[in-house]
Amino acid sequence: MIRLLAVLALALVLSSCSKKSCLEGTDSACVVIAPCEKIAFTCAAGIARAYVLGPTDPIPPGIDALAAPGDLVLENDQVIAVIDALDHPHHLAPAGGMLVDLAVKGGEDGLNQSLVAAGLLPEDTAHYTSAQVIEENGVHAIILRGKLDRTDDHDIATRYEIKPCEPGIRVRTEVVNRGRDPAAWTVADAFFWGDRDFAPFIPNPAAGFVHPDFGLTEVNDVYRDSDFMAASDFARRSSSYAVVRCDGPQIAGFHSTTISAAGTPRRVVVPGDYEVYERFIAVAASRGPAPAIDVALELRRQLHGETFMTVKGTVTPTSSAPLAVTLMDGDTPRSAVVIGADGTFEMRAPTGKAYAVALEMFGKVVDTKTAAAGAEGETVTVALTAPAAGEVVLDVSIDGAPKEAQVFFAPADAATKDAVAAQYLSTYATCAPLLGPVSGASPACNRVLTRGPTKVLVPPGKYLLRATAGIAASLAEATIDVAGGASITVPLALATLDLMPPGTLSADFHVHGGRSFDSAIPDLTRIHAFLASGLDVVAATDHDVVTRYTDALGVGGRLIIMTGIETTGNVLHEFVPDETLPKVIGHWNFWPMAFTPASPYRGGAWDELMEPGTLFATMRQHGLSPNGVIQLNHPFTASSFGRDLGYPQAIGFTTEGGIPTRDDGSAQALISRVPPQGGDSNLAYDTQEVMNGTDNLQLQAYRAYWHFLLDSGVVRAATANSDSHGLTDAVVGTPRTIVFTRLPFDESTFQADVKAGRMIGTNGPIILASLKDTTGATRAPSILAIKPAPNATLDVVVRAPPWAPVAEVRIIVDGKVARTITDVSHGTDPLATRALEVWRGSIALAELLPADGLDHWISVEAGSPLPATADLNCDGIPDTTDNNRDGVIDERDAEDFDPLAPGIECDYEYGPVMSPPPPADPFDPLARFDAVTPGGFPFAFTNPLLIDADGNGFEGAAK
Amino acid sequence: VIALVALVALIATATPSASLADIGPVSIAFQDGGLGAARSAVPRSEVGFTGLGFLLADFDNFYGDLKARALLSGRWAMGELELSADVEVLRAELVISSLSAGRVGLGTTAIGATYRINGTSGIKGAADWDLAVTSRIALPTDFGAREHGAPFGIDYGALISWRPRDDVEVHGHLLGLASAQISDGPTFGRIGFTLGGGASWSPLSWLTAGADLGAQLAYDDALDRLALAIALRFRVSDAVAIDLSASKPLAGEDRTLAVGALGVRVGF
Repeated sequence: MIRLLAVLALALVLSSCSKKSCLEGTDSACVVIAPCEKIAFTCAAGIARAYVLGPTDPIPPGIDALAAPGDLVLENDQVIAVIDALDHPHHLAPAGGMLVDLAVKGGEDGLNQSLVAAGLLPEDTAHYTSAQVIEENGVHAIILRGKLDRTDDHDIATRYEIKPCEPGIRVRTEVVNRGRDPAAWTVADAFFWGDRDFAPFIPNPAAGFVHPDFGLTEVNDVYRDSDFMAASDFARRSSSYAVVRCDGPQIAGFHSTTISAAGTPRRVVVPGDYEVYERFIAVAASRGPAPAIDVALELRRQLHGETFMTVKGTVTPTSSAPLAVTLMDGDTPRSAVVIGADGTFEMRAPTGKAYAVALEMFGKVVDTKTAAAGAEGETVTVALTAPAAGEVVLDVSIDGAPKEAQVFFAPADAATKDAVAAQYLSTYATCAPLLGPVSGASPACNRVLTRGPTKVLVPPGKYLLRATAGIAASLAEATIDVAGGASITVPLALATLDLMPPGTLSADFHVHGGRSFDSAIPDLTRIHAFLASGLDVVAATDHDVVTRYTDALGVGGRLIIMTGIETTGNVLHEFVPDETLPKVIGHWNFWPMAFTPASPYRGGAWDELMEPGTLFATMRQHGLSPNGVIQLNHPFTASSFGRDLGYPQAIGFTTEGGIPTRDDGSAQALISRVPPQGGDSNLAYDTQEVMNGTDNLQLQAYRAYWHFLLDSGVVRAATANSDSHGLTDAVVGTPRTIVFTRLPFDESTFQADVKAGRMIGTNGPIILASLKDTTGATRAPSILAIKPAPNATLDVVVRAPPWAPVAEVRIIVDGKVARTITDVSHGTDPLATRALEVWRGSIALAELLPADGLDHWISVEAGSPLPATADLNCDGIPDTTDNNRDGVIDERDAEDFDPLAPGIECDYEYGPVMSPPPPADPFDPLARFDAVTPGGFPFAFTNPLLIDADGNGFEGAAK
Repeated sequence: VIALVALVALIATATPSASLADIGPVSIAFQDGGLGAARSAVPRSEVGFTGLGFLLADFDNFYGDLKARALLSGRWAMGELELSADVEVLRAELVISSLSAGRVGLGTTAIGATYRINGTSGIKGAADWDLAVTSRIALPTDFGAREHGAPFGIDYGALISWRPRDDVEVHGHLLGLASAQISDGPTFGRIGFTLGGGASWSPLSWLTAGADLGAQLAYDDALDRLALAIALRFRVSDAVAIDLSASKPLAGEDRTLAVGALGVRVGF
């Protein structure tokens, strides 16, 4: 026995003596061993270095670049990579040390973030606590050490390394289970694509860019092994990326346009065991994923001896139409490339196989050729022919002059619709027609921005075109028949409508550009869209980064763009009592913010792991103007990848629970308490979105919550915003907020008017409402309470663009419809060039308000009747419409209804709220409205008229 | 399968043996190789086959661990000395978290020895109490359970039992345990001890009930667990007994909800 123990002890000592890397523990200054030692690239004059980014060092170019002084940089003659500093993390990370920028030299960064994690939960994410730059003896590396977040016994260490000549970086991550329980881990890079931006590609059967849909609870079902993962965007063509595992045959993971995980296979890691993941993350110029896939195949050649050939080709005639080529091995996409103006392409593929080379034009396969099987190093050529596209010259004018406008294409007949409906490389939205990638510059999907005669290539067919320039312009339309190879000029004449009240500015307080992680729209296109919508004021509110657009279009005199930010909760944490799932606090807008281009978040602040009140104080300390506005965005809406988008919904707020007057430790109290971390009350914001998004689906939920707050005496100004991320997801400026303010624009006055609620929200109709008494005193809606004379009247004028049909005017008193006026004027010509007066009237206040001497509030609405809704989860907020159209709203209308597992009252599956579909007749007034307001229906509302009956301040409805 | 066939053959050919004990502590092994588990101070000869199920469900932290183990064991009494070997012929484990993963393979093998210091051989009546020293070594045969590392473990200590009546036994144990591994990763050296005690009662000639309270301390945490274990033992014949047992941690850092075991022992 003693001998046995002695032998064991000796073995353990020897084992300890031979320790390498950071597997024994990360507390010391351990150095993770170098990864991917089988890989070697050579070049003539390669250089490499690792350094900490200084205040004067250039930041990698690209709209997604996040680098700031203090970040850690790896750079060689080919690429530059940025790992964020420990104290200013981004996106999903609880701490820095993640790859946030990666670009080829001279190219642009397109990466949001690559996050190192061992699973999906917050405690599976790397939380590095020390960082070390190694720049000695020819080694250029960054070592990061720490724990998995919120754990004491799960060690993690990562080494990022760069060598001369290499088209990417090498990475090794070690995770050690020093705990008492086994763990189910993958060690992976979670690539946060964000959506509407990059699309991941894997060379698997029936895959490529196509990946199964899944929710957070279904991830295990969509795990796939693949030789590599690549990704690219199609709009900006900034960079393309690929990941190849160095210490194993394949990567394992899941993929979506929101996030991909690429790493080791999931396995049980018992206490004392560890997992290691070595990989090469390659970056290449982007023409689709092919350039990065080429690097991936070279890496696999070096690692596994797999050989590749080259498929080279031409597409004739050259064209500016959206062209792409996919290399198919049976049903397995092997590579894909976007065809540029020169019509050539080149991409690698494994040897020994023949490939179908498929040319897509406008998203449809138009030619397929076979590339013969080639030997290693061999180049096989193919020639592809693109059919002739039609050319349409859009000659859009406003009041006879060439100004910015937007044109929507729609198939004019079923045959055209069938022929042209398509996705770009099988990913993102289906468009009919697909004139360009959905998330990029114009043309995008079926939409074209114009300024003067604008040429656009379209697939042959019959189209209905509609031109718009926002709510203050008329609508123009034309039906055209486009033949391949032919050119047709389409005049579309718009006129400015006499719609906007004097002393108003048209504003959109929630707009995203390419700096947002979920947007890829270029700045110039973004500004062009602002102008085409007829907006006067825009709050640039990108996710987690302060944005200032350059005045490249010289729009200074026509458009005011306020720098702002949308703080976006991404790091889940447990702050809601009795809630099993970790949560985030949703999204909040802040404007105007100070823009500091060389700072993290460009002047903003890290906004995670805090309650709203703390966030408000934090943003005030980080550049929110003293007269700045804080806005609650989309308060009740579905979460995205487990991240709540609206604060009240995140905490499970119910109207029945009311607004607690003290912090009793309940989830309900989170609505109004001052957070323990300090700061302001969680209710200390200025405005709330009542309309968000062009489809406006959650209108009734937001409206109900706003009404509830007014009833409760919590008065916040209401806004209407597009939340547009590009040209396709929403029409910028639809809806919008009309601000009654002093002209010319004065920022301080403007923000004060916004905070005071001197605004209406609309996607077309304009409501002028006021209280007037016999003395002539007139009071317009705002959040400032008034005590009207007993003989006061509510005077209302509703005007609308002729293309925005208003069916009724509603007078809302204390959240309930007090009067519905349906004898309104309907225009006869939706294409008319004068605004329509829909209704004008005066109603005695005494007819609307009970004579109870109590406080009340009034709001006026105009538009379509609201779809019937129900509140199936009993939180006091409408959540479901009659989606199965059986005349009853119940759990069977819920998207996730399971007839085998029906719910119980208030615990039903619920949602969504759907808008009524537009009429089938494309020339129906509502169909015309829908054509330029996709998914929406006409709606406008005023901010409240607060009646302070007893003169002691407005205390809420009937108080 | 071979083990089961062998066990059935043994049962068929077994002869009544006085060494088949209806006494001794409820022995459910939380640690690999049964390190630190209570065991009898009385030497005996038997072979057994036991299936164990472990359930850990921590809903608040989205964590679950389901383990099934099949244990083939044998012990041979040679006078006051008992030698033992326990081979975990199957370990299946499913860890459910944000991601799920499972494994199936061999588990740990343990060899051990117990030496009764006082008394004479035989089960009952020879002495009112027995005192023994014991030790067990766990060997890294859990191939496939881990990618890296070869863990070894040992326990050592004293066992005591006292029989105030023929149908009642009171027993206790105090064991030190230590483990470490040969690995490029952490040596993962741990030292702790277990102690516990309990009683068994045989109200009928074919039935014995037992209950034990045991604690493991200082191994992973200050208090790893304080666990209650209960068992029912059915003497099928003089040679064969069936054991049904369960254990539940009552306190400590061990998040295991419960362990259940069903085994058959054949004396010889």
